[in-house]
Amino acid sequence: MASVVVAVAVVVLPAVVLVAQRTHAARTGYAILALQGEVQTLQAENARLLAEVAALRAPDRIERIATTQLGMVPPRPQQVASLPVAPPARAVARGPEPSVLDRVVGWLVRTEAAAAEPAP
Amino acid sequence: MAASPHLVADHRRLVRRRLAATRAVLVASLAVLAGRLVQLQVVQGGRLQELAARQQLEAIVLEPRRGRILDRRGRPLAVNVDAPSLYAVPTAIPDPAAFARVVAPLVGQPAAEVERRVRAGRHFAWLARKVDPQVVARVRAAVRPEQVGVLTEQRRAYPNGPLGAHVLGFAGIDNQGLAGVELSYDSTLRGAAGRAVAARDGLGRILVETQRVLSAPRNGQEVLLTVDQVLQHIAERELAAAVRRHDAAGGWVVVLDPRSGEVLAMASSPGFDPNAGVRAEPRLWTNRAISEVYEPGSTFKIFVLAAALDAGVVTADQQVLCTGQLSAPGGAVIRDSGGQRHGWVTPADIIRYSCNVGAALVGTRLGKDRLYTYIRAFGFGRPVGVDLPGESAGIVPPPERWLGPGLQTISFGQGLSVTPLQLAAAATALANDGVVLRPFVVRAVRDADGRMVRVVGRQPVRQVIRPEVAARVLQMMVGTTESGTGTEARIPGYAVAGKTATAQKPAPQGGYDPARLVASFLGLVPVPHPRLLILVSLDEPRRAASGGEAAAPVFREIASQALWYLRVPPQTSPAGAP
Repeated sequence: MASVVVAVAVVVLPAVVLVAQRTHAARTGYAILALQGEVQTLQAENARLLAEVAALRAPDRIERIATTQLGMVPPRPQQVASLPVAPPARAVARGPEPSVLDRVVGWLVRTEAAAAEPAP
Repeated sequence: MAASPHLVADHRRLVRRRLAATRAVLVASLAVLAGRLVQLQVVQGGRLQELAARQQLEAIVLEPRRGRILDRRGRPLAVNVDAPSLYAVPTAIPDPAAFARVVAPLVGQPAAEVERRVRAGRHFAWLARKVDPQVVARVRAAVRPEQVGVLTEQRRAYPNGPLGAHVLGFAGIDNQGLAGVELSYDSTLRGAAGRAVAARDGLGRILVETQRVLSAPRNGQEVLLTVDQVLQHIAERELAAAVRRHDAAGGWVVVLDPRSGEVLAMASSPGFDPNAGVRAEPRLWTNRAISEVYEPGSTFKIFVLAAALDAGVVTADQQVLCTGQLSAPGGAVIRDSGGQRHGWVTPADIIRYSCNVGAALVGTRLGKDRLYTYIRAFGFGRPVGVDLPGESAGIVPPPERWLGPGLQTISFGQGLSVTPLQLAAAATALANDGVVLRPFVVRAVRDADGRMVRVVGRQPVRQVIRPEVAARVLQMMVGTTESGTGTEARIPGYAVAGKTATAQKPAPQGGYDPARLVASFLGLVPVPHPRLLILVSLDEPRRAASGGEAAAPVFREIASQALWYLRVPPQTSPAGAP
């Protein structure tokens, strides 16, 4: 009797495990499929919104609204003045020079980082 | 009664024989089965496995995304959006004629065409591709659900409508470039489709665990134009207004950065909406700025004078006598506009007053062969090589065909034909020490991850004239806008170099038609270091006919707005400024 049970267990259990795994894989596959569909839907929505933003920013549309709805007019040359602007002052703050210890630590860190890089 | 032992023995023998026979049959059958198994699993295993996979796994095409087209500041000019496409399932349609009668008006096609498609297909027949979702909803409401299906495809969209349509071009129903940059950079924009195989379940869903990607799709690369969206808008707006104002048949504007050859704007009138694609009228697709072949008229004088100065046949202060008319070979008489007599004129005066007689005299001094050599060196008579499809070469006849007054008429721009872009490209020599630049519309290409894969820069073609001659001619052109034929192009605060042209168009029966004109203005601003080179032409204007009256004000409007947009400060304070 015991040998029959063992034989059944040896034959049936792997089959059950196999079926369970296949079912799980299929279920996960459907979940992946649903997520892929969701990603595609969001990407399509994003593309549609970007196109809509571009259409809303079209110069022709902005100008039409500015002139017809807001009553704006292009400035005449006499209404625009060009002001001379001095070149920006060089005010870049400089920190203290790195010490020898800083340089050694920097060298080590760089070496470590370089070691982690995949070989070309 | 008991059986005799003899009979029993016979019976047992019979049973044994039958058992042996049965066993032999069984063994033979098993042997046959085993043999067949070996044949199927081992001998033909590979081939059958492949056959089974082919039956169970469906080939899937992984469509790439077409690359976007952006303006020089990264603003999108051509993008992709999803669009539903409708198909019919012919096996589910018992009466194709009745189906067609219902569906055809909803998809905007003839009933006969819909019926033909349904009859031709078995499981699939396109009804309408890349349509509005409302069309899909209306069709679905009108027929049985199993008779139609929907696929989502990518559709090209141009969010700015007609803006830059002739430069952008458009893509077809299968996202293939058909015109403009869409066509000339199609292989860059298109990308490459990938391939995958996967099994489907009973509901038609892909079984992800069976999916194998054989080759991944490669998305198209993005193209960055040299065109600026705002400058393009300014050029198109002002051109459209001028065409309306002068009741012209059309026109074109080319705006170049003369230092680099970048095309900042290129407008043609009449225009079209690239979203309409092939539904737009084909004659409107023509990019007149590169395809139109016309006689340039007086704008050509600057190249003749530059050639004469460079060759040394005239000097900047040398004078020729304009008596208002000139007898030319072949008995022809060259006249100035309105029979004006300009008297003794220098090269600067010839440009300032657009003197035909003076230009003809200078051209005569230069001679046919030398003038032809310079004309070709400036790039006339051959395509400039811009990265757009459909460019014309223009027509420059060889000197031996300059019959009669050919040399004299060519000297003031009649008797040869150019394209607007050729004219603008030749004028880049005036701002680049005599070097002609090749104009271009794409400044960079970047991959789907935003990495630059190609950057296009300044493309010098050849040195045509000496640097000092280029600077001198540019300075002479300032006279046109200060006190010559192009005063309408003056911009307060900036020195403008320009040249007007009012060219007659050839008449169909030969000669020229004085009623059909092309009014042009070619200008560079600010002098001496131009940031803009603008060519404006109006085709057959009916109100103001001359280049100075019709085209020069358009130049002024475009240039003044563009200078402020580009933050080019005025050289002097405009009158009345605070």
